[in-house]
Amino acid sequence: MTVAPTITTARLTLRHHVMADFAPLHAVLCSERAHYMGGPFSLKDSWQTIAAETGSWSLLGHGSWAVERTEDGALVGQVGINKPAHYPEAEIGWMLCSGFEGNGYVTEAAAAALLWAWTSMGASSLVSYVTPGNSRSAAVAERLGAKVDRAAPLPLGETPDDTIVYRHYAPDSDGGMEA
Amino acid sequence: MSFHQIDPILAVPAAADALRLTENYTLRPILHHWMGEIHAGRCAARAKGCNMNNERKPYPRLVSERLLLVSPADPEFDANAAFLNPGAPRFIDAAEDPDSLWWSIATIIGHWHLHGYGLFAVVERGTGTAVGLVGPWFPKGWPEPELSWHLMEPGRGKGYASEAAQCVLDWLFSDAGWETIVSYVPEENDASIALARRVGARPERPVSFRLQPAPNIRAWRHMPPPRVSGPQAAQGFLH
Repeated sequence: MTVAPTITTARLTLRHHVMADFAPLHAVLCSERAHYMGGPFSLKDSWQTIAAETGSWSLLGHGSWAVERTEDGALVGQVGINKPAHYPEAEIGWMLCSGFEGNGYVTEAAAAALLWAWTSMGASSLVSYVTPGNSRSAAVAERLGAKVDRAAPLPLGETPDDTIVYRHYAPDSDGGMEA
Repeated sequence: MSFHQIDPILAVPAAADALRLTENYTLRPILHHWMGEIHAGRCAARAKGCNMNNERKPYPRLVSERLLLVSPADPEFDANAAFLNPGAPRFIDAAEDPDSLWWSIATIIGHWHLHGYGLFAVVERGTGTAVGLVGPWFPKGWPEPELSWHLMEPGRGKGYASEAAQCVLDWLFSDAGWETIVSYVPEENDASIALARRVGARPERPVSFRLQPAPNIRAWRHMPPPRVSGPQAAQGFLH
């Protein structure tokens, strides 16, 4: 796998990043919206984040997708399965551009990425790292069925004050849907 | 010419003949691929040897006298083995920090995905070892693309940086259709200034842009060689 596979959902298209994605994503990353992601990010850090999560597909076979609204091609945000060196395991994360809130787009895109992780990537579980206080992201994780995993290892240098670990399980690994 | 792309049929046996199969894992998939094509007597390097990038264009592979230059995003190049796995030669200032090293390599590969060009992995043909990264670099915040070079310890002191830089310049100007590129060189970096001169760059004014990599930077401009004496003159720098 060298590039993100294109995945379509009812309303969204997940696809590999292109250069035109940078401006709208940087607009999120350089704003207060990125507070819980360790931002606001400088231009340099935004570039490195987006480029690295794109290049990650070559290195690891997973990485980030641009999330487009299929109907009009608008970039609504990003969903990614990433494992930079300081993460003990792969994390699914998400980011929504301003103006697209309240539609359930993040949940729809992340559910599609999770399904891809279980069926194509062969993962049996993924985590989401949520900053305490980020209730919107915690709600998305819970809506996706993730459970808080207090025993999970944290990213290098982080403590439970910095990060809550939610864990998503593949359907057949918890005796669920496919049993 | 001081480079050729691994695309025309004649280039493949010539390049592969000079490459020794070694125990080095970095190049093995590419080497096996070439050798397989040669044994089969086919010209498939053109048809399937170059893998497609996101824009469905083949990733270029360049060969100079002692070096192979390959995109680290090329699916047949093992960038983990070359740059990230324990024991791989370290480069950049991130040497001791695996986290920033991962981000640097992932960013360099992502640059190829997003721009369709970027830093080539510089592979020593004699050993199959990746010894550096050289190529056009245009992150957000740069005023224009930069020809950038990084040599890791095992590759230093052998003239590889200028050989690789010249190879990339020849490709940019003759094959990729570029008309100019700069190198941003710190005024106190004598080695890089000598290298810029050696590959024919000319000094311009000191530059200042918000995200410049260091203080006291001067732009050194590379231009295509004059048509008449171009490639021959360039090759002169290789020896």
